[in-house]
Amino acid sequence: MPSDTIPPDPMEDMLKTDFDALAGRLERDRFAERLLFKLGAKRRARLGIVAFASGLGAAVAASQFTSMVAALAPALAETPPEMDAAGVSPHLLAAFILAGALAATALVLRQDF
Amino acid sequence: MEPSDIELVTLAKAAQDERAFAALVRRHQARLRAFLIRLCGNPHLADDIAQETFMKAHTGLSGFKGGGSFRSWLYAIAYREFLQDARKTKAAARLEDALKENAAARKADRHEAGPLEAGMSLDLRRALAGLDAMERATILLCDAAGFSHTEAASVLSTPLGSVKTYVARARDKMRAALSAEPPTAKESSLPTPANGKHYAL
Repeated sequence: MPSDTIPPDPMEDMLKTDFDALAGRLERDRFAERLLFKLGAKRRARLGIVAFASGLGAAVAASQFTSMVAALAPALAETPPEMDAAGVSPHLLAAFILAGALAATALVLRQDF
Repeated sequence: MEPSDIELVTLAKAAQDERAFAALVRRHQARLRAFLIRLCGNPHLADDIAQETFMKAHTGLSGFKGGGSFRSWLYAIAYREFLQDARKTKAAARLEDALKENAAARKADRHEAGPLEAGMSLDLRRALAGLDAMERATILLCDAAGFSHTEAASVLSTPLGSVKTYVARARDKMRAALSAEPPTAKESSLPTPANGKHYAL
């Protein structure tokens, strides 16, 4: 008697069974961990470079702090009295500039720029 | 409930969340590598391609617009990497490696199956090796990895009609190969540079 049902294809079953078994074995090895470590290495290298550059920049800035203060002093002589009253000294202003540079570095580290 | 691929991609893109991308890697790596191993016949090459695929996906994640599934996008990168590698090496050197590995696998079959070949019959391997790369990719995606024809078309950048043709042709060829008489030792050697089927593009 003719049948209108399609018998299951053993070849497709074989392929699927083989594929699932292989994927199951690959699930248990350490490929993902190795790959994620490599991906993290790129980020760590970036952090290292930025940290080195920041450290170098901070050292240079610190060595120039006194001359920065001296350079700012004449400009502050012309500041309005209300700023003087607020206690904006050359030292404070130089410190603000350095803090701004540090904040910019932090933004770069966060990859905002 | 586990987050979907799209949710993880959104998180990885918006918050630069490495954990979200790591979750995507863990979710897809095994089946992607299984696809590549069966596609190129060389586990080491397959892992290199898989690694490159995830690296590219990581840097190019902003390029994923969510039009299709993340899985299709990922496999499309992998397939392009596979084609690029095959073109770059002109197949010959890789074929030699694959031949050596397959010879070793056949030898191991007689004693003990290797970890990646255990469970796969020599007949099935021979039948797959007899397909060209596009036929092998389509039948692996559609019949083994569970992709729809539409998804496979997107992965392979091929019209839907062509995918259906490739699948039908590949099934016919594989059925014929599986029902054929077992080859003699000489015939059973997997493709050689001379017949070039293993990497035929």
